[in-house]
Formats: sequence, C-alpha cells, structure tokens
Amino acid sequence: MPTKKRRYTITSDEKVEVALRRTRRSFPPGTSDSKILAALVSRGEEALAQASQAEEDYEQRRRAAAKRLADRFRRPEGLDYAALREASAQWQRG
Amino acid sequence: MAARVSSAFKGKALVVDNSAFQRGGNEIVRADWLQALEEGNLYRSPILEFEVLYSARNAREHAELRDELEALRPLELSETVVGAALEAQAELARHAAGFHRLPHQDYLVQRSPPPTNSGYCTMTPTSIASPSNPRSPSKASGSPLPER
Repeated sequence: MPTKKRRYTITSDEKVEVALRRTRRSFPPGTSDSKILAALVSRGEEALAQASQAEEDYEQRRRAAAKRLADRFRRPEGLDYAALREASAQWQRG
Repeated sequence: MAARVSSAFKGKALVVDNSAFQRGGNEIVRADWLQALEEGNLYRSPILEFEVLYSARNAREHAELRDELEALRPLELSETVVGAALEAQAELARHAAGFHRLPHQDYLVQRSPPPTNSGYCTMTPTSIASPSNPRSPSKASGSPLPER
C-alpha cells in the first residue's frame, strides 16, 4: 500500500513469530502481519512505560524504607540486638 | 580503616546475613553500610527477614521492621538456590569428615545470588573488615563455604 509515512523493516526470529502467532488470535481473520506488528509495538511501548513507572515507584518506596531503617540503626535502642543474635542460634537448636 | 571499608562497599551487590545486618548499628561501618543501603546495593534473603522479625519486641515493631526491610532488595529462595546450597554442603562433606556441619542458613544465604551482579559477596563481618586482603587472619576464620 503506498504511503508517505516512514516504513520499518524487521527481521523475523522465533520470538517475533511466536508473538505474531499468539496475537493473531485476537485480530479479525485476514489482518496483515504489519498491522499486528504495529499493534504489538504500541502495546509493548505501553508495557515498558508501565514497568518503568513501577520500577520508579518501587525505588521511591525502597529509599523511604532505607531512611527509616537508617534512623533505627542510629538509635542505640533501635534494635533488640540480643534477640537478633538469638534468632540465628534458634536454627541450631532445631 | 575507613577508606578500606569504603572501597570494599563501593558498587558491590551484597547479600546481608544476620550478623552483617547487626553491623548497621556499628559506628565504625555504619556510614558505609547506610550508603550501600541507600544506593540499593544490599540484598535480603527470606532467612534474614525471619531472623530480623524474630527480634521484634512487639507487634508494632514487627510491622515497622517488616516495612523497613523493604530497603534491602529481595532475593528468592528458589529450588535452584536450595540445590546450590546442598551441593556446597556435599562439597564440604567430601573435603573431610564433619567439615559440612555448618548452620544451614549460612549455606542458603551464601548461595542466594544477587540477580543483577555477576559477582558475589556475603556481607559478613569478615568481609566488612577486610574483604580484599587474602592474608587477613579474619579471612581465614570467615565462611569456609566453597567458592562459586
């Protein structure tokens, strides 16, 4: 089909073929591979953005937890160190 | 001393066991420990979680510690890890009679690899004190588990 838009060429491999085969089921019969691939690219981009956001959220939560744990370590009574040592010994007792 | 400790931590993914966790409260290494924690270079196994949470003095502290342990990145105690731990035990058993009689949590923690690092280091007090000095006496008395 003639177009003025930029065209991309991709080389198929096993992963591309599997993705096409799986995704074809959710498209009307006769849908071209290029249409399915374009949809996969778009959905893939969304998934990557979501994963990136999730990673950012996780990192923010982790850093906040790190700050709270750091505060605990700075307090002499922050942890029950005797109980921590005992926790390891518990494994030996069975 | 401080410079050596700092270089030992820099950028390394470290699996934290119980005794290494306690070093977070030690003034000598605290700054580096907390920096590694902040940078996300410390990992926790489920064993560490159980041991730290065992030490909680009440339900509120249990909840707080559980939340704070999220600061260390999680490691899975998978079938692969258990298999590697049993293999390490077998290797020591072949070395000499009774050689393998180490705490089982040490095998499991030592064989839990940081997922994004090809290197490996259990952050034991030994590795904090002198991780790169093979002649250090504390190295000799550190974990006798076989190298990966």
